[in-house]
Amino acid sequence: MDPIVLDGVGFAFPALPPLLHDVNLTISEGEVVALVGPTGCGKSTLLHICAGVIPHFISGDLTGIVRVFGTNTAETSLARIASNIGTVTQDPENQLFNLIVADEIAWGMENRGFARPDIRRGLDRALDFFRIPHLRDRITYDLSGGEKQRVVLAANYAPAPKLFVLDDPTSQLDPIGAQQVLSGIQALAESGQTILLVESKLEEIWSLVDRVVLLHNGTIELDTTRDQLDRHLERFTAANVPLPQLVELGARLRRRGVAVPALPPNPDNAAPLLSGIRAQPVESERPADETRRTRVRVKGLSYRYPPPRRTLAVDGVDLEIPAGSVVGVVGQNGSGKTTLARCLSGHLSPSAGSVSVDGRDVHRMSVRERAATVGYVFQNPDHQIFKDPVLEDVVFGPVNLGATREKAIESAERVLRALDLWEVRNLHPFRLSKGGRQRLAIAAIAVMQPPVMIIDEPTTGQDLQESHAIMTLLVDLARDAGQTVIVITHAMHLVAEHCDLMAALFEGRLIAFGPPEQVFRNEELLRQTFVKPPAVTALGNRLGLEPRPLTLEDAIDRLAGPSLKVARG
Amino acid sequence: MRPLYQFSGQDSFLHRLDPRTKLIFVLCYLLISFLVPQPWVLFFLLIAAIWFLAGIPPTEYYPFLLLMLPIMVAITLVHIFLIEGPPYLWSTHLGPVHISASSPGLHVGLDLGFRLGTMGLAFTLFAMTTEPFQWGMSMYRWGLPYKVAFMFAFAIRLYPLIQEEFIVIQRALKARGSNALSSFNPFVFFPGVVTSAVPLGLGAIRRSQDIAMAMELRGLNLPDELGQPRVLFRDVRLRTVDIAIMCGCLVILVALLSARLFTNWLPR
Repeated sequence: MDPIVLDGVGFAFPALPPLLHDVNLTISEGEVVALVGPTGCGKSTLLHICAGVIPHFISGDLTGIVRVFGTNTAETSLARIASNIGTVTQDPENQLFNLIVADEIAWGMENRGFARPDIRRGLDRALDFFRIPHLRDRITYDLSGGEKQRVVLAANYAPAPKLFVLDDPTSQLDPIGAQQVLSGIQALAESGQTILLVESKLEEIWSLVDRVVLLHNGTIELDTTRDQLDRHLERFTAANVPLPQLVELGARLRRRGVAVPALPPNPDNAAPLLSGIRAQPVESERPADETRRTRVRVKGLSYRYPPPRRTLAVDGVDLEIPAGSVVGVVGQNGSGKTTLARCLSGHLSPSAGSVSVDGRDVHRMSVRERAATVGYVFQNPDHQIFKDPVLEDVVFGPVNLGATREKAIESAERVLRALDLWEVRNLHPFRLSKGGRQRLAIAAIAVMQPPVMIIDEPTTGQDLQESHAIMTLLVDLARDAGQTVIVITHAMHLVAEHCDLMAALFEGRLIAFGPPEQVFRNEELLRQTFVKPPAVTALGNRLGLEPRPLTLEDAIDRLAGPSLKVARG
Repeated sequence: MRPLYQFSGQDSFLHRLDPRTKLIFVLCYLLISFLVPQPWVLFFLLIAAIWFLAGIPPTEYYPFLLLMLPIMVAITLVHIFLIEGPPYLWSTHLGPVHISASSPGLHVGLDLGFRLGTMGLAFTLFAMTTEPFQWGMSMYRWGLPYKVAFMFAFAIRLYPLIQEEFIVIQRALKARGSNALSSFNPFVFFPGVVTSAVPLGLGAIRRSQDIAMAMELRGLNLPDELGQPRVLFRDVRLRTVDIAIMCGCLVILVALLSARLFTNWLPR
């Protein structure tokens, strides 16, 4: 019996136009199916339909037939449907209910009425399967993001469900956390489990996926095997869904007439297939501007957390950041990125060293002076919405800094127009999309025109188009207003494409600082802080391309020349 | 420094005691603090107990002590100036008004301040050494419906998350040039609290919906649906040492109460 059969399924939230229509999908036992599509296309909604959450928990107009293991979900209770399914969503914090890991994993089995010896066996099996027996007695809120999400996976795995529904479980994790969770998903796939998943890091799960389903314009536009994907490049491009960089590179090179085979997503495997290429060197398009004056000067900065933590989170960092530059700060969670940013913004007072902006020590400024000098946009936009509607929220900061209301509205209009939010100025901020709220958070700080803006993970949970839109805005701010923009991020392709400089941190120390094209050359050094260059840059490192390509377009330009010959490895 | 009232996650004599034992201990201790003439001894005894029997030094919960200090000082000051009677520590006349600081007021104020501090500290001991799950299951064993007991334990599990969110929101307010939450002016502070309640409240609502859905998917309602009893993998059980401590607490309380009511050993 097929785990999932969707027959002519449609769905509309109350008082909204239909989100999904005519969705037909069958998932067979043991298949791993990746659901992809642009933000807002209904991927999570479709997963909710498959898991029975719709119509039992979330209401709306559901049409068509949804069968999970032969049972019509509309005619069965959610508890019974869910007893066959392990469901993992994006934020592990919302899926951990117990304090101790063992209790968390046992809880689902308790609810299903397992006998105690069976619970013990299930607990041990789940801990071993996800390689987390060492976490058994740990407190859940003390775990890292990756550990938490693996515990959630284990808790869903322990009662032995017959189907897994995974909704982008790595989207809120740092690289190592994502890697831990992906290895768990890999183990699930290799053990023959049926999995339906949304996963933004398609290249990481490439080898596991049997089929890829493209959801676009409210329905399934494409349902194909992994190997056939690059034949449908235009459809993915139209839907604004990225393929793994090297897979897309191969497809686009072939469309430019270069006879290359289908490229695997891993640069180590792809490089031998292109090893005979003689790429033409080109001038770097982004030469470093040596003449810009230093805006942010960091000298011997250290920060140690108070007891009982006592961690030395930032260790003797020296930095000089020019005015008008966009700097990406990268590194594994716990490497000191956020602590460094909070010291730069004055939210934390350093244990040693100093931070000055245009020659003034930020830690000697009042709260108002600091807000006017170093703007800080926090990771979660929802923590920064204080007023209703959008316009009032943006006006809030300048008024706090002493601007008249008229002046504040004038500035707000300029920024809201630049960030494409002016039309929604009278809406409640929570009616905006996540990307819209992220732009609002940036607007609320940008309107105060601080010479330095720090943005913590501005693209988490955003699709490629939204991410690039936000980064382009930040670059424009830096260029137009001469602001220095510091972006903390795990998205290396965004650093490569949009940042002038990048700083890599490891255990609180600055291990690399310079233009991305230079820093990404040293993969060995970056590996210690779990930073991987974009696949095209890593490929450039292996092929010795000069300068290193930072974007897919760069790589195509280097490799698609008419005089090039391709040698098969 | 850990957030206030957060379980410390260690393994110690106090951590291993049944929550019911600790609850009886806390209640007896509070009553005893009203019976003995030197409550400050109980206050410091409790700090020592948390340190040596639970392995938690005061440096790990000093924010709580700092929070209690102004309250204890305020109570003492109020009594110093409100309770009349010699010997006076200091006195003056402001026109017709006689203002004095009395020694009896100082003693009463200090006693009350330390009793209040002891109460707070006793509950801190309970919270730092009692895992919310055990707390919830104890209530379940005392007859509370499972879902209510589980939600109670879960609420405590959520507390540090909400505290962390509040700190972020506080910083976000500062980033917008508002220092309202650090202000001592109530006309600035309370509007700041209302402003910060918007993201905190909306975030909590959104989070609660996601959590409720996740609980449902993990089978919270399945036992009711199937009409089968709920299995508890890790149950709470009273051990001999628990019963001995409970009995000891009750015996000491009754003895002190008797001494207070029927003898002159303890001042009334």
